[in-house]
Amino acid sequence: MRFEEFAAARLPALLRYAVLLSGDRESAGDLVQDVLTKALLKWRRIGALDEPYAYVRTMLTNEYLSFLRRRRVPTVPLGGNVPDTVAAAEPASGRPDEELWLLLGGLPRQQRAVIVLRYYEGLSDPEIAEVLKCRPTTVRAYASRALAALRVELKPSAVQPVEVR
Amino acid sequence: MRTIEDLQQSLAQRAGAAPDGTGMVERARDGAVRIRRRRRVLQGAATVVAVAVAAVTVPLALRQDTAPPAAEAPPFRDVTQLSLTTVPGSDFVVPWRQSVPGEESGLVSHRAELTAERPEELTVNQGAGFEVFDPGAYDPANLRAGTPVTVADRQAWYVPDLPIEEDMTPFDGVSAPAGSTGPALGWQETSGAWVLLFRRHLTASTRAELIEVARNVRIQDPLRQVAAPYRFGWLAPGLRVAGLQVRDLRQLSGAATVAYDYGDDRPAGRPAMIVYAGAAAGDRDWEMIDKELTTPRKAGGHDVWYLEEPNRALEPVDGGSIVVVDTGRCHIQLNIADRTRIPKQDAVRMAEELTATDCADVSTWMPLAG
Repeated sequence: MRFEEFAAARLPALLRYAVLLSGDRESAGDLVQDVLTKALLKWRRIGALDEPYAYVRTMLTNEYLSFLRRRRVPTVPLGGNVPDTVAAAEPASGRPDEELWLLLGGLPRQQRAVIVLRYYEGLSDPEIAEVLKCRPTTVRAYASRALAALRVELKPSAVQPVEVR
Repeated sequence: MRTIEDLQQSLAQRAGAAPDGTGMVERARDGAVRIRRRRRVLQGAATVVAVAVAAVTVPLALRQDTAPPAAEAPPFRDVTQLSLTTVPGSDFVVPWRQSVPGEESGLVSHRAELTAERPEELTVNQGAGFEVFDPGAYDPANLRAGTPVTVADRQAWYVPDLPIEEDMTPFDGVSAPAGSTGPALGWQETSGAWVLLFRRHLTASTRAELIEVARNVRIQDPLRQVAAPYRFGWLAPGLRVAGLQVRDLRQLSGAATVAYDYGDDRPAGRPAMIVYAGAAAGDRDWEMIDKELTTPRKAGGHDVWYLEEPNRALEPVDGGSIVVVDTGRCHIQLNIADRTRIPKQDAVRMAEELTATDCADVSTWMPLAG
């Protein structure tokens, strides 16, 4: 697959994923731009993969979690001053999910990534573990903590099976 | 309480706020061209990222599933010493590497990857991740079960599916390494150290390319002391270098991240202090950081800020602090984990008494003391 073909098909999805991870449009754009540049540099390899999107999504996730970028701004502060967030972009919306969105922004990055991968990207815990380079049990622990923080009630049917290695 | 469905609906709706991707492909291509031409590298955030790709796509640690042998072996290298280099005249370079006690890892890339305008059209060797294990730190059983290969008079083994464990955040201790498999070539040095070259994916040319990379690398003797763009005039008592990541290739803008901790072991959790140093020019974070900083204190010819509370740009860990230093050519940041162990006066003194060179020009860097 050519890089341009990939971008045409998958760039919107990457941007949607990035905005959920980072919590604001500007950071999402930065993240995706960085990752696209990196992906282009490696495209000879990535384009030959069966699932380039999964690979680039992992790159994006790693970039979001990256050790080298840790000093970067926490994208959605817990306090009231949230000028760069999506929520702030729609300040007077009074949206019913406003509190949920702010709680999501207050999660540690790994937990937030797990939530987005699980409930937006639809990945299983073993698949998330592959993306995050951790064990499925760690994913489950992150998800459990995050859902508690988000005050989401976990119905028995919503518990996903976890492969323990 | 809310339901999973509420969460899913919220995510789906919020995803709709994603920015427009118009022009991103063109900017990515432009950025890649700039990187490869080594043009304006000091301004190129994309350049930094391009090198940092090694940090996020190459395993930071690679170990066998089995436990390392218990036998103690003589020390091979200190965490501040670098062992792997390319042979004279090689077409390969090491754009990025990391060192923690017992393990040195990084990336070996073909020089053309840095200079080609359209690397996706390159047909050169795709390089390899590398790992150098101290004697006794690696169990070679799985490797030795592979196919014997002689490379540059070295007895090596090739394994198409060597168990690999990856730890993406070795200094932070926030995630457990996860296992996977990948093609690898490895051998033991006369020092007892084990060298592994590896890829994530197996292709028809992987084995031949790993062998070619192996012919182009060697363990240098003596080992090279790692250099950094700064030197502490005073370091808080008991702190030692516990790990580091450096991009010290002359063709690219340099950057160094050094973890300091107490004792000789790899930090089990967050190290006592992590120091980031990168070129001031092209620091994409700086615009946001600068807005949040108050009047600096001047010391040693540079500006210093001390923070205990988070702002919109920087967030010390709970109970920790951050010291920001702007030397004009370098932005240096000391992230301190625990203010009770490294109080404000010590943190500020370290920043005020440090000497910095030009972060962007690796030829000016100074040996990093352990």
